[in-house]
Amino acid sequence: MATVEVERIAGEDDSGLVLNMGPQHPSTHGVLRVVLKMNGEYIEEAVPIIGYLHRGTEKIAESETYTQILGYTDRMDYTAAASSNLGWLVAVETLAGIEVPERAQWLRCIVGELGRLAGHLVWIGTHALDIGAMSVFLYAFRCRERVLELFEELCGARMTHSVMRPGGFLEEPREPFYKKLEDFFDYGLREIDQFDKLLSKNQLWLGRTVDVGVINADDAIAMGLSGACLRGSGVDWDIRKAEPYAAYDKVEFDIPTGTGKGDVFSRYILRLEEMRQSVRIMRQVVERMPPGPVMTDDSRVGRPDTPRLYTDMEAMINHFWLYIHGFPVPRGETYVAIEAPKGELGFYVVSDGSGKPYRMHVRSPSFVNLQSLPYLVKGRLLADVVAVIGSIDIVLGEIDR
Amino acid sequence: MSIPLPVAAETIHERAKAVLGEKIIGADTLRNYLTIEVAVDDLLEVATTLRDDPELRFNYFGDVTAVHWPGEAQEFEVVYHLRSIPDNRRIRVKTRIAADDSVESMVQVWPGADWPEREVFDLMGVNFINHPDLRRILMDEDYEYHPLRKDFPREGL
Repeated sequence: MATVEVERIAGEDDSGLVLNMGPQHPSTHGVLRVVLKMNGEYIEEAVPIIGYLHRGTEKIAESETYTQILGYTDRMDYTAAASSNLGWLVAVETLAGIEVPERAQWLRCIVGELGRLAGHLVWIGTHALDIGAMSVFLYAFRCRERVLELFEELCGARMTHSVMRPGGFLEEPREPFYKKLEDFFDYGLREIDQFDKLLSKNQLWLGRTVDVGVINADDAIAMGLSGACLRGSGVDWDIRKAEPYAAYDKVEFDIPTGTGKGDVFSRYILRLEEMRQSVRIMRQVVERMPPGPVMTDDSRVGRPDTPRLYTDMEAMINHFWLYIHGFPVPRGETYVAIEAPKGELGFYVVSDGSGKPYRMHVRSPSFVNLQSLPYLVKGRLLADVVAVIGSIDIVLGEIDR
Repeated sequence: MSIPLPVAAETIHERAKAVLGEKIIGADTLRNYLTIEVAVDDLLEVATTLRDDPELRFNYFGDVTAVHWPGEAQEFEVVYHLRSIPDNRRIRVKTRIAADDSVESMVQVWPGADWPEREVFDLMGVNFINHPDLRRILMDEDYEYHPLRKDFPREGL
């Protein structure tokens, strides 16, 4: 695999320098490999090579129950596992026709936005580190630690939590969670302002990001970009507004489009604003969330209450059946997309009527966004590759699946 | 500017019927999501019409994937998900092919189809003609199998 690509890109006459970047390069955010054909310091051609982290999630999913697959979705976008979970659950619930209680829908907004914050904080830390701003990395990871502590308070796990279930949540979060969440809001906003102060007017940062990796709105749409990469070019598009899921249609938030120029700086500035909007959404949810159960009472999918398990024979049988065979999903297919931190995360699920999906396909945002890399870096300097990769915000776990 | 909610599937269906006519060999609406089925030979023409018609304007290639139904005459079902941004229309286009058939590459219509089609080629073994760079993408270049086919064991070969 390695030599084939280098020979192909070097061409017949073997002119120019072929440079191999990755798969162990720290600024490729995982195991991305890019083979570059150079003309001096300038890039003539870039070929991203992926697949080093391919685990066959789609194949595995065909022999697991719908609930078990939830654990595999965590490992796709591992910086924001909550979003992958949410996407999968919305797809399953749509296909199976499961009603999720109102409170759980609101709670899902909190989990989804915390996931977005966790993802974006890793992004800003590593992106700044790649470009050379070391201190932002430390502040960002300190702030991310607070987000992970919130997840820990919520369910005990920090990164791969699978806190939601088909039909809602396993249980209502304990009281300290809400207290800690409310404490986090002001702290989070202060930290985001700090990143803003450290970078947005910094001449070195501007020099590395403004007018680098430019893509206009029409090209961005034609290439299938989504998320911040699409909005950075000035396209007003967000799945949370376009196809509302959870309780996003009941909260107010803005869709930032950065400077609209479609460069690295635009994608940077809009993600900062997105984090502020995340806090804004969570504030509204905490204030307006209705009381009530967080798990559906639909006995096809909902786990029976623990006290009933010890006293009621049927509840116990139901429990066993649910955890061994899963729940059957009616024949059919669905494609459900959510706005993950990286863009449009879509799940295409085909059911043959059994308790396991016949086919499950993930439209992962990083995968589609990454294909624009050769376009974005063509004719640019080698150092710009690092800035562009950072600004596309890729997670290899999601690209390779 | 605000983003509109999805256009009703019936509205899209009416317009699609008007411009595509008999090329639609099957249609289905489930949960406000329109699915149309077309013959593989018509696919390129249908795709171009869907993109260029001023009242449809499906300018965004969302996704392509394939489903394997072994034992049937046309065992692969190639499924496209298209969007119209910012009008917020969506459609699912399906076509059935036999194992040794090929599909026209959609890269000619939407450049964004490049990697998704390579993935389907790699994992499912569906051949796309007129694709600029049809190589394996996730598996190794000299790998012989297509792991997402139903006859490929989960444990691997």
